[in-house]
Amino acid sequence: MPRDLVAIDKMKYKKDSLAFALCIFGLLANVLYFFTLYRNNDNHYYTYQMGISVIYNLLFMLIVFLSAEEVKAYQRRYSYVLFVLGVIQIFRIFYIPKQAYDAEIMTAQNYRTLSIYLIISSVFLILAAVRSFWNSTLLKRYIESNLKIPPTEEV
Amino acid sequence: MPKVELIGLKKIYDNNVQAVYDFNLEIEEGEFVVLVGPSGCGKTTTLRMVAGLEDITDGRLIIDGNDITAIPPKDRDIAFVFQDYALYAHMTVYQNMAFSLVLRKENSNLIHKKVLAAAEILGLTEQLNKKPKQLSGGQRQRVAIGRAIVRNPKLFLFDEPLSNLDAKLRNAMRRELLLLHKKLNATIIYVTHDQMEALTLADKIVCMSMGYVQQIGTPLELYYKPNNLFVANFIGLPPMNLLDVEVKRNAISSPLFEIPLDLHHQKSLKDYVGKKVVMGIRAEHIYEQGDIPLKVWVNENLGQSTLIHGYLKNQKIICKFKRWANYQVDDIIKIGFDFENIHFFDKETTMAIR
Repeated sequence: MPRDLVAIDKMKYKKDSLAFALCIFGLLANVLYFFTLYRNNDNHYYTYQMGISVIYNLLFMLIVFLSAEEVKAYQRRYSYVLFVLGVIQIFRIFYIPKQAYDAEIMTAQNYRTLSIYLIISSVFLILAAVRSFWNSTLLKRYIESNLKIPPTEEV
Repeated sequence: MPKVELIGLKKIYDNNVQAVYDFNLEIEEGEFVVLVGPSGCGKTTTLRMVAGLEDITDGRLIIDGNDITAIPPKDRDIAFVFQDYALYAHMTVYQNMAFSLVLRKENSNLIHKKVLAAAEILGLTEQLNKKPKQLSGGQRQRVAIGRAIVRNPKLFLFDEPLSNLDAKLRNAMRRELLLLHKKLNATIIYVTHDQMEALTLADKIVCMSMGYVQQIGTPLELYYKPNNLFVANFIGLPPMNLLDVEVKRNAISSPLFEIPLDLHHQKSLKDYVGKKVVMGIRAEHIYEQGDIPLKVWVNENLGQSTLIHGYLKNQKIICKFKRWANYQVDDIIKIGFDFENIHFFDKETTMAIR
């Protein structure tokens, strides 16, 4: 075991609050992206992509929130979900913001701001995914090993 | 030196109601002391004064030689287990048990170890991730006890902890408390109105009534040598039978019987010749096939024994026979008293005559 047994044993009874918080920060960064994108509505072109973008953002927020709740309880498979969502956030830069910027509909300032929000969101989600994967793997191995922490004499 | 000393404790509320009068008690290390008495007798007030939840009007409270009368509750190193558990509903069992240690900013690994150790003792290991609402009453009470155990306090205070449980669970928890006390060798003050709990749990019982201590002693002493009529009547189930009798030179008499006195009782009752006293006898010290007629009122079979409620002329009496009896209402049976176990009380002072 690479970490102190007590620290791992504590995971059985404590939520992974840090992974949860990272997910929520990732979600908030995406909310900022969402608001900023549509605040500049005058600059935006109305196509089916706008509908897709709105639906994706709503689904994204729903899935991230659900994943946040699950990684809090050390559910390893949701760390994969968060990782994939984090990577998609990077690719999203090349979707609406980049296309709008290339078409000279979006200003460079807005393009940079939106890109930064997506990068921040991506970083938080990938960090949450890594932490969650690491902790849930440790906990799983610990439970499978049937190890017991040494008792205390103080009670 | 005793672990805990309560010296002349008094409690007078703002409305001038006095709840506790001159309470004196010494508790040794590891002793299980039970305060017992009817509702309103001042036992919970006394406990709350020890905890610091009520101000002490007069008197001193000493723990480990230190006067802690004026010390605030949080600094007394005393754990209090409430009747209604007082668990945090939004926290898991683990969090409930760890909470006081987290507040003290103890090392989280040590907190973890202490919580696990307490959970192991109380059989709560499998419940640590559950919320209180998912637990039974007995389990909740164990969590409340666990929360006290992890603090490793100088003194445990229990305020009627089993009152909210059903009869079967209460019996089980009573045994668990006994085992727990043996395991921890903790000093405990326990409040109950249930005299059976007091008799089974206590090393020392403090029987209270109307704010006064009536008697302090072992369960055996309170049961077999009650100091006064209150203790005689309160301790024991069924309560002691109390009969008005007249003392003669060599005997006691009532309209239905006359019993010769042995030398011991002749001596103790010599000042009462020609006067009326109260005779006390427990139900199990009355036997069948005596010569005193008893009119049966109720025949109550308990399985291993039978309680016979009846009348000796107009005085109500309860007998306990160790067999399955089947008397009918208005049957006349003959009973006798085991003279070794008869008590006498002064009718005016209510004190035992010895």
